[in-house]
Amino acid sequence: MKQYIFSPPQMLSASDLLRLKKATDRSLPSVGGSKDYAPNDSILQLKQIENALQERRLLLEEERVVTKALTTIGTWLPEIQMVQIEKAKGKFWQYMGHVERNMLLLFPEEALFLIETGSLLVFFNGVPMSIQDAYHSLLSNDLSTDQYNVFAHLCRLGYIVLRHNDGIHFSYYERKIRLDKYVDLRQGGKVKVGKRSFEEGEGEEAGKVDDELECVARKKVKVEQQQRGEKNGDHRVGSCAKRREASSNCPSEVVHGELANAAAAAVRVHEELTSAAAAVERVHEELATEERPFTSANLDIVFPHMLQPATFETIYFDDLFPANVKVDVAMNAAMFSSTCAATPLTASVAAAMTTRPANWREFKARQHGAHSGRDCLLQPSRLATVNGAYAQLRLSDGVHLTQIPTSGETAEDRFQLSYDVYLPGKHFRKSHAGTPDIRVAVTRADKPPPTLNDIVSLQSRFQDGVPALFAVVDQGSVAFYNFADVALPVDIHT
Amino acid sequence: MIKIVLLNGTPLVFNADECAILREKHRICGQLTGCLARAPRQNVQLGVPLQLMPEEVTLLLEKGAARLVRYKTDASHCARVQALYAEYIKTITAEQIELLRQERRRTFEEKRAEILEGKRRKVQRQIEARRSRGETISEEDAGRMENEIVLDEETDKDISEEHSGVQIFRENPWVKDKADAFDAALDGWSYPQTEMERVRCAAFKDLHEKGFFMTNGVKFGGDFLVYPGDPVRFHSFYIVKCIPRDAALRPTELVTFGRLASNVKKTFVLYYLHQDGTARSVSINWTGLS
Repeated sequence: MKQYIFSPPQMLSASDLLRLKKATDRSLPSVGGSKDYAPNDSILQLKQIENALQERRLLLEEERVVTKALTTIGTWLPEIQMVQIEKAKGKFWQYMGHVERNMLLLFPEEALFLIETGSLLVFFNGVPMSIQDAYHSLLSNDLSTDQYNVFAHLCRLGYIVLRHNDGIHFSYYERKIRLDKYVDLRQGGKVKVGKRSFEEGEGEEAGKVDDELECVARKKVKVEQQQRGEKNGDHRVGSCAKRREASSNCPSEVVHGELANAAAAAVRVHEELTSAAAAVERVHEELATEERPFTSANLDIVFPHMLQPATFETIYFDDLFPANVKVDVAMNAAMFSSTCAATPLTASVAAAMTTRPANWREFKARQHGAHSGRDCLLQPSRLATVNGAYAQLRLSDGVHLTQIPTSGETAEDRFQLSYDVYLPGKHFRKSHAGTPDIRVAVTRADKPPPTLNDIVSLQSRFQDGVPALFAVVDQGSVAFYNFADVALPVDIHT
Repeated sequence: MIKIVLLNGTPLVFNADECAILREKHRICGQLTGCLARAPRQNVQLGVPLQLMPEEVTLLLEKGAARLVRYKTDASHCARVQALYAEYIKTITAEQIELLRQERRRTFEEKRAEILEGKRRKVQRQIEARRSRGETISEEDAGRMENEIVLDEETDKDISEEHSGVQIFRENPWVKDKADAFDAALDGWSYPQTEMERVRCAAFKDLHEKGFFMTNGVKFGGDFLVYPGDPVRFHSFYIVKCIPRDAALRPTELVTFGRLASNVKKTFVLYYLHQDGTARSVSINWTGLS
C-alpha cells in the first residue's frame, strides 16, 4: 500500500482539507494470499502481524473529506422521519429518494448510506450530523441496525435497493404484456397510472393497444386497492372512463352528498368495480395461454366414502361441468343406483379394504382376489408409451414450490419482506421500476429458520417468479439464503 | 476507558482508536459494519462502527476495560455547538479560500511568461482575423491592443467556497469528550439471561482466557470461530457450537458437525455447562477405525 492519510487530531486543517478532497489513492490491503498456520513466535511473523494491524488502523482512522460543490445538503425532519434535500448533486437521485408534497425526500437508510459514502451532508438545528449522530438519529425502532446492515451491504455491491412495495402485484403474464409499465408505484405510497413512452416505429395500432392496456391497468389498480380497503381518493380516475362523469368517483361528492347523488354514486362505483374485475378476468382468459398452476382449491374435491351406499348426488359436482352442458340428474341417478345394485361390495372385499392382513399369505391372497389388477403399478393395457410406463411407476410427482398448499396461517411477523432489489442498469426508472429482481426478508441468526410454510407463503405470495431471499444477520455479518426448486433429472424425455 | 454505545440494543464502538485498542490489547475483534472512508462501495474491507457480540461486551464489562454508554443526540446540536460550528466553518472556509488564492498566484507567477505569450498570440490572431475580413488596422492600433493585455485581473477573480473541502466527522468533535453527551446506559447490561446465553458467555470467556481470538460463526454454521492468533494472519482452528447440558444429539448431527469441520480443515467443538458451573468442551474428530 502506498502513502496513508493519517492525522492524529480529528479536525483537519485547511491545507489538509484541500489536499484530501481529491485524494485518489483508493488502494486496499490485498485479500487472500497465504496466511500462516499457527503462531510460532518468530520475529518475522510478529512483524507481519504488526504491519497488517497498522495498515488496518490507518484505514479506519482516515477522515472523510468531500468537495463542497459535489455534496448535497440535506435537512433532517424528525417529525416525518425523512431527510429533505434542495437539489440533488450527483447521480444518486436516479435510484434513491422520492417526491412528496413538492419536497425531495430521502428515507433514513438512504440518507445514512449517502452520508457514509460522502455524498450527503445532513443538517439538524444548523449543525451537520457526524456519522455517530446520523446513526443515532436516523436508525430507530422502525429501522434496526440489522436492516440497515443488509441495505448498505446490497448498495455497496451496486444493487438498487428500494423499500418493499406491497402494492399492485403483477402476474408473470401481466408482466409479459408489459402491464406493469403503465403503473407508477411511487415510493411515497401513491399509485399513478400513466402512458408509457412510445418506442420508435410503433404506429396507430400500438396507440390503440396502449390505450387498451392503460384502461386495463387503471381498472386493475382500482380493483386491487378496493380489495385492500383503500379510500377512493388515493388513486386517480382514468381518462378512459369517458362514458361516465369523472366526478362520480370523487369522494367530495359522496361526502357532501345529497342522498340521491350519494346513492347513485355508490351504485356507479359498484358497477365500475364489477366491470373492472370482469375486464381483468377477460384479459386473462382471452389472451392467456399458460396453464394455471395448482392451487389448493383444485385439491378440495371430496371423494365419497367407498364403503357406504352411494347415491348419484355424492359423486355429481355440477360446478365442475361447463356451463352449457345439461345433465339429466334423474336419469343418471336411476342408472347409477341400478349399477350399484348389480355390483355390490361383497363382505370379503369390504373386510379386505378395512382390515390389515395378518400375514404374508393373507396379503398375497388378497392380491389375487376380487381386486387383482389394481395392485400392479404397471397395467399392460396402458403400456402405450415408455413415458406412460414411467408415469405409472412414478409414485410422487415433483411439485413446484409455489404449488404446495399452505396450511392457511401465514408467516406474519416472523418473516417480512423488507426490500425490493433491482439489478443496476441504465434502464432503471425509479417511478416505473416494475417487478424487482430479488425480494429480501431480513432475519437474525439466532432466530429459527423458516418452516416450509413460511418459505412457500413468501415465495408464492406474488406468483411472479421473483426469488425471495432471506438475509441472515449474525452479529453484523450478512449471509443470503435462497430456497429454490431443484429439477430432479429425468432419464427419458418424450 | 473504551466507550461502547448501546444503539437500539446493539453495542457499537465509533472511535477508530478504541477499535484498534480492543483488537491489539484485549483480543476482541468484533465486526466492522460501516463504509470505509477511502472506498465506501465495496464489502471487502468495511469501516467504523464496530459491532460487538454480547459475549464480548459482557467480558469487557467484567474486566473493567470498557463502559456502556448511551449517546444523547440533543447534546450534539445544542446552542453551544451551533455557535462553535458556525465559527469553525467560517474560519476553515476562509482559510481554504486564502490558500487557494495563494496557490493561484503562485501558479500564475511561475507561468507568467507563458500566459503573456499566449495572450499576445491571441490578440495577434484577432488582428489578423479582422484584417482578413477587410478592416484596416494601423500599426499603432495593433500596438495599443497588445499593450492593453492586463494580467493582474486574473488573480483577483473571486474563488467561491464551493471549491473548499468539507470534512464529514465520524464523531462530533465538539461533544466527543464531553460528559454531557454520554450517560450510563439506562437499563444496564442484562446479558446473559437464558441458559443458552450463559453457555455462550462461559464458552467465550473460557476460550478467551486460553488466549484465542473469536469471531461470529455464521460462515461455518457454528456459534464462534476460534483463531490461534489475530484473524488477519491466521485461519481459524475450531468451530464452536454451544449446546445445553442435556442436549440429545442425533448421530446424523454428529456426522454433520464432523464432516463440516474436516472438509475445511477445522475441528468442531461442542461447549456445555457442567453441573459445577464450569464450561466444558468436547471436540469431534473424523478419523479411521484404527
